[in-house]
Order: sequence, then C-alpha cells, then structure tokens
Amino acid sequence: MERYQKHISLPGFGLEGQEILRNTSVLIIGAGGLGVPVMQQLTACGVGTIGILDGDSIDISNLHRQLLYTEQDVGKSKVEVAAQKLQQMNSEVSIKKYPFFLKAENALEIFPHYDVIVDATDRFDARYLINDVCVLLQKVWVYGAVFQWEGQWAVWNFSVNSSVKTTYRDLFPKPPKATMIPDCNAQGVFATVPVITGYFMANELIKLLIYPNEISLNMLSYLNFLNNKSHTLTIVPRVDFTEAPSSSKEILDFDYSYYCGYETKIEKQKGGQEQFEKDVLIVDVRQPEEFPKLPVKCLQIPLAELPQRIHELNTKKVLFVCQSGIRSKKAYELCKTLLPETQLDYFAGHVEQFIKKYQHA
Amino acid sequence: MKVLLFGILSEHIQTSKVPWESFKTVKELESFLMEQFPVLHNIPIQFAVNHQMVSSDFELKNVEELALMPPFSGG
Repeated sequence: MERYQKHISLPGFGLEGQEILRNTSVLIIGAGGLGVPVMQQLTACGVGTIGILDGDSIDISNLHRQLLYTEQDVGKSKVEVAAQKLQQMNSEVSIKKYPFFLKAENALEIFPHYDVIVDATDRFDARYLINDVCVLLQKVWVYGAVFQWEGQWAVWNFSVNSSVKTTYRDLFPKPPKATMIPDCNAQGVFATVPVITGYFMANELIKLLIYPNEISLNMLSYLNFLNNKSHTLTIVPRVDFTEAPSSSKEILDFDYSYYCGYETKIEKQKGGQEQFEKDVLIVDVRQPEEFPKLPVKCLQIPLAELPQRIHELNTKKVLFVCQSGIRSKKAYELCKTLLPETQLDYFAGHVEQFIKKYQHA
Repeated sequence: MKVLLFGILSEHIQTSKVPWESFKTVKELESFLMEQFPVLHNIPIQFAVNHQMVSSDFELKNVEELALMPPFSGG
C-alpha cells in the first residue's frame, strides 16, 4: 500500500478508495494514442484488473504519441507489448490480453466481465457497437476522441442517485459516413492531443469510482490544444430517438461497418467470391513478425518494401492481404497504377476473416 | 451571435458565406448549410446554444453563442 500513499492521504480517498480501485475491472478498447495514457495511469494507480483489446500492431508512425512503445516494438502486437510493459510497471495489477479487433461476438462475451468500458478506438463502427452493448448490459463507458489539435471526452451511460443517463447516441443518433471524418492516420494529429485527452479520460474514470458526485453528468468536454480554448456541451436525452439494436441478437445481426460507411454494398458482394482461385498470387503485406501467419502459400512483402520488390508480382492475378484490410488496400492502390496489366484485388477485412474464408473456400 | 465551429466543420463551412442571423430555427440553418456545403449530407452536426444541445425546432432568437459539433474520430 506504500506505493499508493499519496492517493490514500487525499481527503475522501483513503484506504477505502484504494480498495475500490483494486476491486475494479476496466476494459480498454484500443491500445493507441488514447488507450496508452489511460492504461498507463490506471496501472500506476492500482486498478485491479485491466483488459486491453486491440488487433493492431505497432507502426513506426505511432511512436510520436504512443509513449509506451519503442523502436524495438515496431511490428509487434500492441496488446502483447503493452501488457508486458504494464506488468513491469505494476505487478499487482492483473492484465488481460485480447489481441484482436472488437466485433459484436467478442463484445457481448467480454464486456460482462468488466465494470467500466473505455472507448479509445478510432473507428465509428466500434464506437456505436460499444454504445449499444453498454446500453444493453448497463455498463458505464468512458469515451475520448480527437481531431488534429482538438480533443473531446465524456462519461456515457452513467448516473448518480438515479439521475437521467445519456449515451453517445443522444449526441449523434446516427454515424457520419466514416470516410468523411478522417482518423489520425489520414488527417494527422498533434502528438500531445491524444496523450492529454487520454489522461482526461483516466481522470474521469478514477473520479467516477472515487468521487462520483464530482462527475459532470451528461456533458461532453472539449479542448482546443492550439489556442487552449475549452468548451462544454450539455447532452440532453433525445425524444426523437432513432432505432438502434437493443438485444444481443439484434446487435449480432447488425452490420456496424456498413452502417458507418466503411464498406460499400458492392465491395461487400465482391468479397470472398473470386479471391481463392488457384492462379491468384496471395501477397501478405504485413511485417514478418505479425501473427497469425496465413495458412496458405503466399509471398511476404511488407508494404514499405513493395515499391522496390514490385517485380516479384509477375503473375496475372494478385490478392493483397494484411492485418485489418488497410494496408492491403494501400498496396492495391499503389500497384494499380504501376501494374496496369495485372488483375489486382485486396482482402478488405481482418486477417482472421481471411483465414476463416480461405478454410471454408 | 457568436458562432463556434469544431472539428472538421471549420474545413467545410466558410462562415462568411452563411447569413447566420437570418434563420428562424436550427432546422432552417441546417438545410441552408447542407445546400451550400453538400459534403455536410454525410456529416451529422449537433447544434448547441449557450453550451446546451438543442433540437432542430429550436428558435434561434437572442442567441449569444451557437456551437456546431461534428463527430470526432479517434487516436
């Protein structure tokens, strides 16, 4: 308990507060710019169980703002590296690893084991899924989001003394077309914005456990880090509520990616039909360290090496595969102009979906 | 009326092209913005008056500060 002495001596915190933290479990979805500061702070102050969910691996361009990772970690699983480092930071905390992306199936399975859910993702399909599952399971969730020099955060689905609860769907009942709101990778982000926004999220999370009456209920907080101007927005429950999936079955059947505009109907229909023909050269554009390996004969060319090694794609048909469908699309777009004669395609989904489809083909 | 544009909205809305004081309701303003800047058909906007969320039938009379909040992605 000595390590928590400075918390324990705070008025209203004490041993009791520390015990509350120790008995709390938090699931952090997204181990990137927002997730890293949240998990570092919660680990340091002794939150008993911390789950980390992310299917991504560390990219060199993450390092300017994701301060848990080093150059040696590039290409490795974020969850694996984060878990190892957090455990070194505080051996008393139980770290649970979920090295995959959030889907309705795993959300419904994992969320019930946690007291608080943290949305540190950069995708709208994940955010609406988190919202709907938290409403169904009556979980409080802490949210953060950033745009270039701006950050915002809130505590959703939380009430004190039976006050009214609001959710992200009260703020935005329907998602934007996701491509219209670029993420950090596409639009850039000022390094300290996700870091500080993440600490505000951790701050709200610890407060809702220890000082729940201090939480600004139903409020979106906002800070512009360029001019230091802050703003708040009081959320009012909607009466004109749009329909949202509200049972486990509805959530499982709902296509959140399509709903948020990540995949067009045409792309969906195309997927998985012509991709496994025998004469197709499958090219894995991930780093060699990334898992799972493809259970199929393939050529491994990391995306960054593709321009120099493009001569190796000397077949008529090529299919690119990667971890999440982002790099495979980039590879496809890169080669489209360089190899006009080749019939190119890319697998738009997660590598695990690819393996499943391949095995069933 | 002081107008605040957050996130990506400052890229899409040219404030000088909007007669902010001339709309009776939020709905009227919203329709004008969508017509003037068609990209907004794909970006929902939450309007707030004096730091509080308002619905589309809210009357824009004697408003000190109007804020327009779009969705933010993540980090």
